[in-house]
Amino acid sequence: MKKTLLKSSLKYLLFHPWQIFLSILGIALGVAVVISIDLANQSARHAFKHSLETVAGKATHHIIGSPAGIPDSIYRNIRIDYKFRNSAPVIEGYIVVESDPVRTFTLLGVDPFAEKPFRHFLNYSGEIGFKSLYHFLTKPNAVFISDFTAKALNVQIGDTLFSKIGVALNELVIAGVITTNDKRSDKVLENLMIADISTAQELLQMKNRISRIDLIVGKKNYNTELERIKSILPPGVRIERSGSRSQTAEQMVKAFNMNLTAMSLLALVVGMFLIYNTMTFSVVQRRVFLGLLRSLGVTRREIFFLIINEAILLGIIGTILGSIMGIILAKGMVQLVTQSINDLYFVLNVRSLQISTIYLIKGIILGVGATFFAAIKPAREATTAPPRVVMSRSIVETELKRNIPKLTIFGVVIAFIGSIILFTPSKSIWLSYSGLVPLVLGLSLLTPLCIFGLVRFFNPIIGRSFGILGKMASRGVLTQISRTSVAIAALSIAVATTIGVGTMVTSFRNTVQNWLGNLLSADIFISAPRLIATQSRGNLNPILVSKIAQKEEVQHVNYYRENVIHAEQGAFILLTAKVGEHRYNDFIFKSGNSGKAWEAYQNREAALITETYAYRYNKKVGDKIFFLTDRGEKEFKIEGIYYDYSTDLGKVSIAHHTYLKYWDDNKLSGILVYAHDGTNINDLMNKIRTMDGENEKIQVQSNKSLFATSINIFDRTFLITNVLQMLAIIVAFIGVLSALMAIQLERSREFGVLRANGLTPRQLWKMVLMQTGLMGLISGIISIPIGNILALVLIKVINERSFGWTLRFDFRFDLLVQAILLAVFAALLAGIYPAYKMAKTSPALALREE
Amino acid sequence: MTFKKTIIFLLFFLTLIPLSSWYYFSIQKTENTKQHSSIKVSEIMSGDDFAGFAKAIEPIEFQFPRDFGSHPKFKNEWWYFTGNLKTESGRLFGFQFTIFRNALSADSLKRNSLWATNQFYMAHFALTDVQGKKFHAFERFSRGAKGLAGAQQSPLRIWLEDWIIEIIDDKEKPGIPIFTVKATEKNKSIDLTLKSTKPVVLQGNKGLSQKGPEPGNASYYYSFTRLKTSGKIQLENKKYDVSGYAWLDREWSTSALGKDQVGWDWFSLQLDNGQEIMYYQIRNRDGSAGDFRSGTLVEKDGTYRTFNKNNIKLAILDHWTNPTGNLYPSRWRLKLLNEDIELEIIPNFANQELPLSIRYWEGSVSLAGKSNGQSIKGMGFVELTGYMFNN
Repeated sequence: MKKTLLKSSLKYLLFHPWQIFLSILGIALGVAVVISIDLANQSARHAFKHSLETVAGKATHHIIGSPAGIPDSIYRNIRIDYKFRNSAPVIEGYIVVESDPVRTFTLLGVDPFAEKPFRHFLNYSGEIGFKSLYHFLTKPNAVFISDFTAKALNVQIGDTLFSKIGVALNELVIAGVITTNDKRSDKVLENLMIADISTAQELLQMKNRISRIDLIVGKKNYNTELERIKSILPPGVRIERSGSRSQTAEQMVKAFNMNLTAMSLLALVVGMFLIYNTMTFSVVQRRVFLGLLRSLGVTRREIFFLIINEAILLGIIGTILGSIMGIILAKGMVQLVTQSINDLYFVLNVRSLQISTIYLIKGIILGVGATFFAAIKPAREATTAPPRVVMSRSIVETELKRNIPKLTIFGVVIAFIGSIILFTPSKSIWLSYSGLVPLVLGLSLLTPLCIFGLVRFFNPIIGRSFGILGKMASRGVLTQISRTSVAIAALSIAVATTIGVGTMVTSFRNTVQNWLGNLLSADIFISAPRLIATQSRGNLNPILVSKIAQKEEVQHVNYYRENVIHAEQGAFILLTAKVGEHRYNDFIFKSGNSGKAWEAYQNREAALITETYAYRYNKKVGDKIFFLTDRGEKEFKIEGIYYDYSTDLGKVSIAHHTYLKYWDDNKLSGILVYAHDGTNINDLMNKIRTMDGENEKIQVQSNKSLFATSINIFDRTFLITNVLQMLAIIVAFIGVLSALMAIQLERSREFGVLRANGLTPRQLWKMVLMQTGLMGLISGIISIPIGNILALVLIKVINERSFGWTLRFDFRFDLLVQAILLAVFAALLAGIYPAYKMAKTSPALALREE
Repeated sequence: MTFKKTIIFLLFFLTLIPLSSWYYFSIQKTENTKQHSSIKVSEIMSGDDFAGFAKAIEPIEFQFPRDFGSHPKFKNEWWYFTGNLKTESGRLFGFQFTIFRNALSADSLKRNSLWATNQFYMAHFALTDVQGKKFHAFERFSRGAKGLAGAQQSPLRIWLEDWIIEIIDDKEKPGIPIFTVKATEKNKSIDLTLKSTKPVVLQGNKGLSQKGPEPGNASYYYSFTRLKTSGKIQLENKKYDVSGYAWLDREWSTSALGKDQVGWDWFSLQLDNGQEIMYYQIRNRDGSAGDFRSGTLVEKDGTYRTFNKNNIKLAILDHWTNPTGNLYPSRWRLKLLNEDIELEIIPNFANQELPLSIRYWEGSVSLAGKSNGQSIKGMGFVELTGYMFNN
């Protein structure tokens, strides 16, 4: 008996290949998107953690200081005077090789004689050999790379590599190639160039400074050892645990990663809709058969599992396909994620995709689980088929019609609950998303009501324009409302997503454009080449300022220094600027009195913070911030909060002269040049360009080109959002296609009757397309309010909670038109196959329903 | 299919994936189990680029205190202390403390970083606990920059981190210095004061010691063969007041081992009658001692005479196999033909090999034999390098 049931299932599935194919594809895509985002995020995280661990080696702690590093004499104190011999000096920087400019290497400067306890790959008695160590230690600009990297860069021992570190051009000498004999070591070393600490100091221009001192603090006397070290550190230097850097990094990208994950789940939710639709449809289609089974003694339980098993079978096939597709998709996603992280947060090299079993399993469980849950309702519905008595379709439809008020109230309640969750003050991104889901779901439950309203509205118009055929088409939407409402709801949610995300992105873009237009008031911008697009951390020689100021065309020069500060509570950017009075208006204050704030900034060492900083660290005007400066801990009073969209890390700004007072770092990150009116900016730019030294390459950009570059970066960081949105739409589209097709195919008997009564194939085509087109139009219309509500939530709730940005909501009329066109187009497309099939089938054949 | 079966199927399906992926990833892992091997002495001592370095070609006039300090124009240099010290109750300890200086390139380059240098230092510190039959050896490396290691002339000081040699030239007896030596590693340390009881001994030809056939393949080499030593030795958590005699070898060169030379044997022997003997031989690949071997006999009054390869016979009486399977000679009979001296040299125990980056044997030995017809005893140190044929 059970075998027979199984066979019947299989037969049914096989006889509806289109439907089955589309459901599987829908689930597969949903799972693929979730898995690919998870894998991409995980690969990025893993790559970063891994590179940090590689560089940290066995160090348990680091002694660190300001961004300019710590005085290197501390090392001697620690190692000799205080006899802490498990210590090693480290210099870390970034280096770009001319022959492979897309790749950023980490330049690791070490003292080979202190390395043994820390990093295995550079033991003086290790693989390298004594002879290359001679060169490593004595040749200027000598570096070691792995054999793997040597092969990739096509260089060997003795060759030179042209490279760029900040503004400086260098000629590196390959002093040695570290032979690795297993894949793992390859990975450890693949983005690393190792140099002697003296070489690193010279290349990175860190006179008498090192980045940090690595320590191994043993478990024995752990606390006393730590206290002992702490007690001897000069002001401005502190000790931190080895893992804390990867923690701050994770903190930095947390909101970014979470939003990606949430977006990816959207695709799966849409996929769930699809399975629900398919299973409901298959149950409705088999009501007669299921009733028959019941009368033959098949229990309700068995029927329930018949449907569930069918769904799970589809789910499993879809999930397996989805996992494979997910891995393939992840290869592209990881590029996008890496690019965004590089643009926004820190230098990251992800050379390979990390296929993590956990995320595959998570994707599979989500996929199969989603199918299971989506099938519960249809399966329960199947058990309600009473034995023998075949419930007519009309009863189902009437029931639904009767239920519309209930459904509507239910929808309103759910949407209301969603709104309450959204209005709950909280910083949790997940809470926000879990409010968004019921809100949208609740709104979609209003679909049947809207359909009734809209069909009533359109019916006379269609009747007048298309006659009886049109009326039949539009009435058809109502008579099969149990089916059409699901399809319309799915399509409208999909289209609403495009409106929501699209409006959010353009609102964001416009806000940024406005802000940039205001901010970029200088004529020429000078900076070192950037490794992280939104942060300028190169080193410019301060002499440039006076050199430029001497030019007669120049009216005024401002400059700034930007550094990422890894404080204990998290990473943020310290912007120290020399701001002329004429630039006061470039900053728009969210709170604080502009005049008073600037006065305090210039004369009283006050700090201005961005709204993102204020949000991240719960600060308001009048609060104090504490920094570890080179002179020890120092407090700064917040006098203003201003808008800034360059980074969600948060920025603190103090006057540059204040910075020089507390930090030993006179390098600059950028110089802003204001020319006299009527100056030929291009000529001035060329003059500045030819000013720089032989071995330095500064970046000189005009106002216009910097603006364009900034907007480009903005667009690049939203590329992944667009891709995810596209994928969700594809899943939704497949869902709608399958739903609409099913509806039309199911009506073959009805069409048969019509055809038998003289409906021409041409008229049939017209009717089917008119009906699906109308459904598309209705979806489009419904999607407009839902889409805008979605956009509002994304902008005002999700974005603010994730990043702390205030964005202006920009209503996009063009998007609404586009949405309706999209919906109608999708619906029309879905009507083609059924219309074609119905028109071709002879009426007699169509009439033989079973 | 029942519900149960569905669940079982699902569970099976969900466990299959992690299991198979675990298998997939586990076979991809290949452990890097390659052990780091020690460097052979010949590898370090056979640098190919000697251009620009000063060389020991002909005898020079040694000047003190200048020549206590370093000679950075030469490639290699060492301050080599060995000695046998006893506690009042007679417990015997051997010690070795050496600072090696090595110039990686001839010219000191003009570079911006103060970390940059061509001078590198290595130091070895070993303690032989004869009673406990335990041998402890430690090494350190450092660059001669940023105060981490170096040699300074005034006041005379050679150091690698907190391992320090200080030299005070005795004003009343110029050229007969007082040394202090300090080294600590974990809970082992030495803190010694060493006063020379005899004037300097210039080894070889007035301090020029030939190591190979080519001119310049030689070192400048002098010794203080009897340093009256007292101070403290710490072993584990116990400190011992010790006294006895030590030996200092000072050598600097830009020489290298020849193609067929693999290492050397060196003997510093202090006899109870006040005599000392230094003998070295550079060994060939086949194990034989070739032409480059000679020694010095120092009399009680500090006068000394050299002897050459024809005047000495050294027979190996026993061998010892080290933990890595290499064979070391371990007991000798030394006979000086022109003198009436015959000695048996017996390691105080066999395993006094330094298992460091450069592996060699440097151990405390006891002497027994005859000198001028009288039976005689003594103590000494033997160094055996270049026996690492299989790592």
